[in-house]
Amino acid sequence: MRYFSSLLLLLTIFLSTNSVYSQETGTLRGLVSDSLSGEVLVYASAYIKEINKGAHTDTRGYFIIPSVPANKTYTVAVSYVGYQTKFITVEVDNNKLSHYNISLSAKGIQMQTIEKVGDRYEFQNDTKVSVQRIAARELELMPKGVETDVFRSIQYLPGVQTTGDVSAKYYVRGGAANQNLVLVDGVTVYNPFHALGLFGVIDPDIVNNLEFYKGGFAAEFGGRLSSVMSISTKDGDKNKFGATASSSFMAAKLLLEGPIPNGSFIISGRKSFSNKILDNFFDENHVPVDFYDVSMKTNFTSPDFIPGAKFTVSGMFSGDNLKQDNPRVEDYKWSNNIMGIRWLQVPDSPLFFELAFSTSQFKGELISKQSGATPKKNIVDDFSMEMNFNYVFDSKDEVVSGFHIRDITTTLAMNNAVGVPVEIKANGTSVVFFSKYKMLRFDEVDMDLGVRINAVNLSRNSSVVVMEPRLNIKIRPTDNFALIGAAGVYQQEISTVTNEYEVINIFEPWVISPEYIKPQVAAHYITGIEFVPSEDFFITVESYYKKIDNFPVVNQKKILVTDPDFVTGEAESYGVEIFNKSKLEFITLMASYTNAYTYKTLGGLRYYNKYDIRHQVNLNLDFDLGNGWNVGASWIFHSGLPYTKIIGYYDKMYIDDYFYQNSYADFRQPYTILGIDNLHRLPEYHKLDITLSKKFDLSFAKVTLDASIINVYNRKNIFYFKRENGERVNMLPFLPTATIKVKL
Amino acid sequence: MRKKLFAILSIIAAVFTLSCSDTNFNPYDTHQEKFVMNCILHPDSSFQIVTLNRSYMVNNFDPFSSTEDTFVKGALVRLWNGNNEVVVLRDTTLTRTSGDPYNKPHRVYYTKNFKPKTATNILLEALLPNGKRLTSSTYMVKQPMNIEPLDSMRFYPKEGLGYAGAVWTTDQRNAVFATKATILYSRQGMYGDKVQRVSIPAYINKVNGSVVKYYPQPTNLNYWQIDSSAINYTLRSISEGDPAKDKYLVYSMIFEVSILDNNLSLYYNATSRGKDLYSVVIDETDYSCINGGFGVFGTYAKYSVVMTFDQLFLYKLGYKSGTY
Repeated sequence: MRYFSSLLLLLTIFLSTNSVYSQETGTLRGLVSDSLSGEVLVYASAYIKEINKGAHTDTRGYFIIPSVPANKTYTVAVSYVGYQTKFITVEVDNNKLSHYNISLSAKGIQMQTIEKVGDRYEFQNDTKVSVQRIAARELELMPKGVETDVFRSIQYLPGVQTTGDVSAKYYVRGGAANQNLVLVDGVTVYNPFHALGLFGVIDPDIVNNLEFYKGGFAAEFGGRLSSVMSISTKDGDKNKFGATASSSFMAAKLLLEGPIPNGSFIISGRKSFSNKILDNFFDENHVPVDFYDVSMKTNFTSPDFIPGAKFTVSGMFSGDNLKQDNPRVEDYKWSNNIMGIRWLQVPDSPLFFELAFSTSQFKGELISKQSGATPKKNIVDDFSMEMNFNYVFDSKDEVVSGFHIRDITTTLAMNNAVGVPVEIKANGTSVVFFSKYKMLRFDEVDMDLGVRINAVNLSRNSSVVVMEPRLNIKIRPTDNFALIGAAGVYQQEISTVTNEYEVINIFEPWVISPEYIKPQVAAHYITGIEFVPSEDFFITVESYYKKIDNFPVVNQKKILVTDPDFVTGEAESYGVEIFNKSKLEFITLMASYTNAYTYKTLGGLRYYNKYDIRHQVNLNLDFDLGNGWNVGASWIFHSGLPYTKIIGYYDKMYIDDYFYQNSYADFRQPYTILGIDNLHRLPEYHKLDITLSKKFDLSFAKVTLDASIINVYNRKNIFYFKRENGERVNMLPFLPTATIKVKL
Repeated sequence: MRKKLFAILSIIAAVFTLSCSDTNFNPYDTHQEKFVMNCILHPDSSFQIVTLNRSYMVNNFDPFSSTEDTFVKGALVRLWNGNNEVVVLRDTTLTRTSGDPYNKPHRVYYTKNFKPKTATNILLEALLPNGKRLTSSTYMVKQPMNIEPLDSMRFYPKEGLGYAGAVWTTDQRNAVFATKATILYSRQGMYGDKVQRVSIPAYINKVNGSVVKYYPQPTNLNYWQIDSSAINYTLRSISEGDPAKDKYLVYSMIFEVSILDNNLSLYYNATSRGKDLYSVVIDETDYSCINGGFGVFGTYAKYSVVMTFDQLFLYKLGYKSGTY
């Protein structure tokens, strides 16, 4: 409580000093968008040369430059990756907010041009730590696999680990996969993967921008311990109707967009038509994947209705169906159904207000048929209401506050270990208030101080009020160098039942933390530097330490029905990440190195986590060859994943017939005796993927052809070894793929 | 353009040079010898066997290829019924069933003089030649289980019901039950007119035109039912290919239920996890009640309920009703 009082006092002091800056000045606000489609441009930069002040647009496309000396005319340079910089003349009135809609023209098929102005102001006016922003155009440049995938794109970032080519599932800074929050337009997606986790359900063509936080995320995000991926989707072309069709070896896609009265719409649908290529992913086992996804969004803005208001309705629906003809092989299906409605109010003041209602449902079902597999069903129903506002003071400081109310029901129906059907149903409501103060008034120091207050918790085994303080700080002794730091407390009350010993998990049900365990809580500590010696060179070095308490894991020693499904342990991870982005003429390089350590402690024993990767190097090269030709290459190297060695076999008795006198003497099978968990290391992993792209215009359409090769030099990376006999199974071999996209 | 292509090729070549090494991988560590003892005491027999083996290692990814005799010779293996009755087991060789993938000798310890008593603490001990001792104990509670035909069905079939089965009650917590249903019949002029038994599958299914039979698995449920299609299929199959149906006497249908003791129930639970095709599991739960090693020691109690067939029903199948 003393902490909270101090925080309020601090806020009061800062708020009272904001008025100092409010004399003889005005505020400049801009909405930056694409000149052709009207799509907002996120993290575009705006710069007023005369007063050496700038800002960048937020995820809604707005920038605000406060305290601009009033009654003068200025030239604002607005720039964005791949767009021509625009210079506009603006006038700022005293004590008023001057708003401008600014549209930028794309540079056509020459994709890779990074404007310099914006980067500098992003560097100077940002408190966010451990965040990576990926715009729609950058997604196009990422190496493509079988399908372009937003989840695959983040795997090239330092601190993000995967355990195989087969899964897009990712682990961030030693956290479990279920500790990653995925938000699409602010709505949680519980299982964002198709085809047993091969790639994501989110169509990259509908993504406007993506923010990926690897830790230290601010008070507006919560509910997960390790990372946040916040995806904003496109609004759709506001000026003309368009259609884009594309196809890979596996799926076909159609996207439609266009204007509607006072708004626009976009709808995209994807459907699989062949899964032959997937056999390469599953050790030549045929997996009859059949999937679809539909994403849609429409928006409405009318000065006649509510001036300054923008309403959006968005939805995403995906389904996967693995249906086997053989009655002795089980079927599996899962789906996501997501809907959201959002009201953004932008009044004639530097204030933004948002109110949103959303629903997210995940359903997964394993239908055992006559296979002997245990039938299972999981349903998550999530209804949320969210309200938040942010206000920009004349001092440039910002306050962001709001609350989230969430009602979640999880249902897990399955046969327990001895065949009795059980249904574990849990319902909880959480009410969370958050507030943060973003201090941007000083040139040398930016700070983001906030708190998240869990007034009502989902879990019944939780304190009445749980506080999650958050702090991000950036100190810039010079114009091109910054010291960064972040610390925070994070709570998670919903988790998947994940068997860590499954290298491919088909069924990972979500459940609210049961009453017998406390919600898991993490503490993040991050320090580092950012160095921008030139406009074509950017480097960050970050070190982190993360400690997780009440880390739930599946109880491997569960024998009795009455034994708990979860036991809790502790997890700890720390490491150093170096990330560099540089540009040399026609080559753009992203290079990173991660040195990480990840442990879990269970029953007093400390183990390496299965995704503990000691060294990881990622190299991403993009060659802009001109005339629409582009070559992307990515090379990943990481040291071996932990595994457990075989120390022997014994002939285990499997009792088939309790009525046959000597039956148990015969019905035996070799059983593998394993050594200490995760004590040894698999061989190192490395792989080179290459994508060749060509963009060209036909009279009626714009065409993009992509040809990719996964694992160019056919490296035999080990995926796992079979427990029953030690035989190794490798990851993806040399695999050529191609996609075609036609935009009308 | 040439400059650009040269730069691309140079970088790719450099990566190739760095990357073109293959990997040797050995998942095997030094063999650490462990011992395994298994014994399931049969309640209605005085012939009991104990298997006593050591672990082994292969390096060719095929544990079935091991022909090493893992039997532990020269051990002193003893069974106690309470504190008084003790028997020492002898070793012998058993013949394996056909189709067994093993190709190695199979020896066990046995006794012909041990019948487990209920309500006693039964102990098993093996003293190995290397001085290592493996021990275990079990206790069979003397609580007769009450077993009845499902839906009070004394005669099969019962009008309006498409199944038959049994229901039972017990006080043992977390108990696992093994079930079996058989039909007793005889054929005049064959098998010396002796009574024959045929097992009824839990259910049948047609896969690619042929019938697949699924036999019951142990369960935690306190009832068990068999679909009429499986019973009727089994009844028809006993005279399949034999035109002289009237020479068949069908006596009864017996539902047998074995209640496994705590050790066997836990062991069954740990070894019977249903797996699906897609999940790849690199470890599984192991359970042992053998101190100092792996394996299980347990016993069970067997109960049964008899159901007779409706005479008219048998007549329609061409059979006669018999009394046994």
